[in-house]
Amino acid sequence: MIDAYPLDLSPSPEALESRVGDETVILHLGNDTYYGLDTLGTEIWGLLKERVPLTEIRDRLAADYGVSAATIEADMVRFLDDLMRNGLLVHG
Amino acid sequence: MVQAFDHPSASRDLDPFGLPGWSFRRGEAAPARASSWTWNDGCGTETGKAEDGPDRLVRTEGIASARVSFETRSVLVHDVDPEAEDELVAQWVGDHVAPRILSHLGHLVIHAGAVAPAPNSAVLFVAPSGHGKSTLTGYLHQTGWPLLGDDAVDLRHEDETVLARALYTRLKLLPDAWAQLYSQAGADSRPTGRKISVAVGNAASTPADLRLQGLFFLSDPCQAGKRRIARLPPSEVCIELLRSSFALDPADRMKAGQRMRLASLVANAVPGYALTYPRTFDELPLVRAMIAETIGLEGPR
Repeated sequence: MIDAYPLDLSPSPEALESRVGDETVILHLGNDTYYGLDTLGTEIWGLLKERVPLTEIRDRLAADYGVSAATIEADMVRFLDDLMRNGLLVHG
Repeated sequence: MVQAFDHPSASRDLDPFGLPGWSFRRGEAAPARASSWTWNDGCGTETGKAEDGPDRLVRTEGIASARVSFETRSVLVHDVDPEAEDELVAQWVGDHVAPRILSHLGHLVIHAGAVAPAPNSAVLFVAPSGHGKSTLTGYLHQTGWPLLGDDAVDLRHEDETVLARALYTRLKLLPDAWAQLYSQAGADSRPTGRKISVAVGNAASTPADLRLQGLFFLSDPCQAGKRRIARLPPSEVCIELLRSSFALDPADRMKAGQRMRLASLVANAVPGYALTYPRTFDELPLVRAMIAETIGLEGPR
């Protein structure tokens, strides 16, 4: 499933973020809408900003959390779809 | 013709809108053309940039327009609606224009009611207009908690503490809430627009900056169920603060970043709660007791 996503996904230049404890709040300047990322989302967002490939993010998190790659992948798909639907993750 | 702008809050004549060094005038002005307008509060208030210079513009349909100059630190109120009373226009400057100027100067200004349940401490009630914020704030004031303000509250983070300062000390109530809470109280009450503005007796005697003890975010009254208070994670507190914050230019990246940093600091330092209750006057004593217990005070008197 992860393989189906474009390789050039990156955080939108219109996204502005601030850390709040272990979590992250993101503002999309284009639509003046705020989003909250939990701890796992914050970790994935950080790796996306570093342009780490999605498969590597999946494998890294699976090892860190001690769960199967399939479990992490299912969470990542939901998360990535949310980010893309809200314009926080774009091509480029 | 230009005239000095009188504010009804006599106790703060020297700094009527929480902006020391700024002048507020009312007069005629050339039609304010904006290079862009941004509707940003959903209640009819627009902000924009002047087409002919660096000035900023604020206007609310049915009240007035204001041209804000950061160069000369001045505000010119113009195009006042013929139906708008002076009191309403002054309130508009205090609770729509001045908070946005402060925000642009790097402050975090929240649309909230504020009371002081204990000496030197404040709690805030945050909600959009029409969600019962003023009624609850007025009830708490009437039952012994000094009222600090009902609209715009300036939050500062200093040495791990958050300080709250209300910018506007009158309470604005819908007629039914006013009839329940203030009709027998002998308070100075004046109709302004569709609300009744009440002068609050003990606001001026309360210190300007109080330590913020808690943030209560009122649920949507249409979805309000059983009375309850639930602690919110800091990220949700941060988002709710930002949604309730004033901005002169919401799309300004640098200013938005400042607001986000301040909101993050506040959210990490002060507990925030979702407050749900049926919107009936009978509920208010119970809500008060629940709030008192949450912040570690005794129940209702």
